[in-house]
Amino acid sequence: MKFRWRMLDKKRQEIRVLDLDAGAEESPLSGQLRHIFLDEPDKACYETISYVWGDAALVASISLDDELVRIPASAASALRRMRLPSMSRTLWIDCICIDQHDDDEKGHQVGMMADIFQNSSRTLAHLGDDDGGNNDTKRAFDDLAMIYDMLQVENAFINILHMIDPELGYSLRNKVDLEAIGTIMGRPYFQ
Amino acid sequence: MQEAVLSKKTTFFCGEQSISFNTLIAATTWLMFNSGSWTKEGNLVDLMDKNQRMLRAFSFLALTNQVLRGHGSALMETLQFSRALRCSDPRDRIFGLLSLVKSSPFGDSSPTNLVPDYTKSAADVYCDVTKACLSEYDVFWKWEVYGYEQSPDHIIEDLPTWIPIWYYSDEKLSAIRAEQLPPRAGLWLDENTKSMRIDTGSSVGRLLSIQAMVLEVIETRADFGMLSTLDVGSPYIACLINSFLIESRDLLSRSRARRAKGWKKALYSLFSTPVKSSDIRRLSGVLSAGSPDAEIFELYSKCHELVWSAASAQDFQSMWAEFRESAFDQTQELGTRATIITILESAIDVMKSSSQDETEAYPHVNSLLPRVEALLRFYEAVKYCRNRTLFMTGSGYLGMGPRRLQKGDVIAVSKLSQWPMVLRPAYHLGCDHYSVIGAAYVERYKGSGEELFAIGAELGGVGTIHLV
Repeated sequence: MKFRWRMLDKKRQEIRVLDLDAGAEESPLSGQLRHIFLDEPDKACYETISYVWGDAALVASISLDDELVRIPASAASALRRMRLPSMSRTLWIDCICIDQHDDDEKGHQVGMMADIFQNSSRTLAHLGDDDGGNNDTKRAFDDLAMIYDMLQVENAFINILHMIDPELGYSLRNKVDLEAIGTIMGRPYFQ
Repeated sequence: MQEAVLSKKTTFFCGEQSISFNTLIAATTWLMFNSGSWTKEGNLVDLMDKNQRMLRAFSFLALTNQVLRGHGSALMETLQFSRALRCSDPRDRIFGLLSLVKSSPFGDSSPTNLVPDYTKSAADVYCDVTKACLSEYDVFWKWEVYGYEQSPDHIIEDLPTWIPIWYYSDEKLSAIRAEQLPPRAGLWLDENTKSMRIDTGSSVGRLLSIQAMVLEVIETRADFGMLSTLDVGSPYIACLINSFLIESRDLLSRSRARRAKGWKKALYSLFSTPVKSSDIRRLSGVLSAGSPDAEIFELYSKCHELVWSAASAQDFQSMWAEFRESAFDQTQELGTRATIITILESAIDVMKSSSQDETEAYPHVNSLLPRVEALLRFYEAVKYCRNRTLFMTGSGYLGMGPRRLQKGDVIAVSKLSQWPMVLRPAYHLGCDHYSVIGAAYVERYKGSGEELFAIGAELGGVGTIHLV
């Protein structure tokens, strides 16, 4: 039997959220859809997932109420990354929470996107899986965090600081790996 | 990616790693403007030129940063940031940015009446945007910065002169990029002594050391009246302090109190009247080319150029000798010029005697600090002098304004901008009609309202004019 999305009430800012089942790394994805209303902020507690759809030919699946639903492979990998090992997680992700076969609903929900993201407790932006070179990503993020820490000190005189504190200047000059940061920033997500 | 901006809190995940949105935007913005010589590969801008996708990503994040800083107008901040962006139709930029602003967390406060409408002329679109900015914001704080001078690669026909175009010409853009590298490139760290050295073997290093000396000498002789326009008390350091300090403060405290509503309302009503009008106090006239100050500035920039172009120390020595001869030749009677030459000479002597060894280390890091500060000020000064000229008003006020100003132009202070404006009479359109040439710094005018009125009264003429 094919999975059926239950209709949304347009007048009440209704959306669906996904209660993603807990699971170990490679186990199949499963979960249930639940309807909530954005105009009831106390009950509407969810995190949004932001990702890129990527190559349409690459598909994966998730089981919703024991029915398999096809989703983009990139969405599946984002869900895997965000899935918790021992408890379920409430998420909003466009390819599952919006009925992609219903153009009318799609139009309406896309119009509500800003509200959906603004009302979420957090957005989890998935840049993609690591293609092996985990060190480069770690390095890029570490560098950015280091710069951020220094900016907290005193942005205005940061250049002077570099000059009077050789260690600081030295570490920055040798540490910041633009190539690694560039690789991250060049990911399709940032297009 | 835009939805990431909308959320209260966003975390980026890549493989096992994650980073917060705040860290990512603050650090990438900083990198974008300051990467200079502090990274292994050198200039980030060059790297981005090679990779368009990366450029877009950085631009977007930097843009987001501007918007999040929330000066009161997401639209205005965004427009300001967009000056380096390129597009074939000037309207594209505005329409594109509008959608970006609307999708930002400050989108609610963005003007709703601005919608992409390609039936409107570019001039109309820019006028509408300016009106929207004014209705949202109190005053054109950095009016000079927004850009109002049309450039050949970006012409908007029939645009009133007082409407900012938010655009860097190709020339200006390459100048900005070129400026990113020099100040720090000549410094290096000696690992043995753990101290900073100036690499006087490079032209940049030579420039650094000479300028540090020049600045020291100049500072000790600050009482030479004419030099005061180039010393640290002048507008350049004010601009430096403004831009750098405001930047840092805003990064720390995102939400900045909006300005008084009264101002905003006053301006809005001003601009909802059919004719753009504004109070002015007129100075009697403007001198530019030919004033002693302009010549001093020319001389100074010539020295600057000379140091830059020299390929080696010997080369520099011979070029300097030549230059000195020619400069003195014309300046025997001009005491101030001679003074500058002498100052530069003595600075070079100091440099020669103190560093026989081309890469002599500074003995104490502490002693470097004042020099570095002085250098940074100097660089700012040079930057702000570019394409600007010194002038003197008929009643004796000294100032600095756009290079294209000419005798007969008028200085006006108005509610429209923080800085005095240079206006050119457009008598063919009627008396009291003026076109806008640019913003000016006028000595002793510090930008506060009261002082403005005091100067206005002293200079004579408070009235209403029409900007065209």
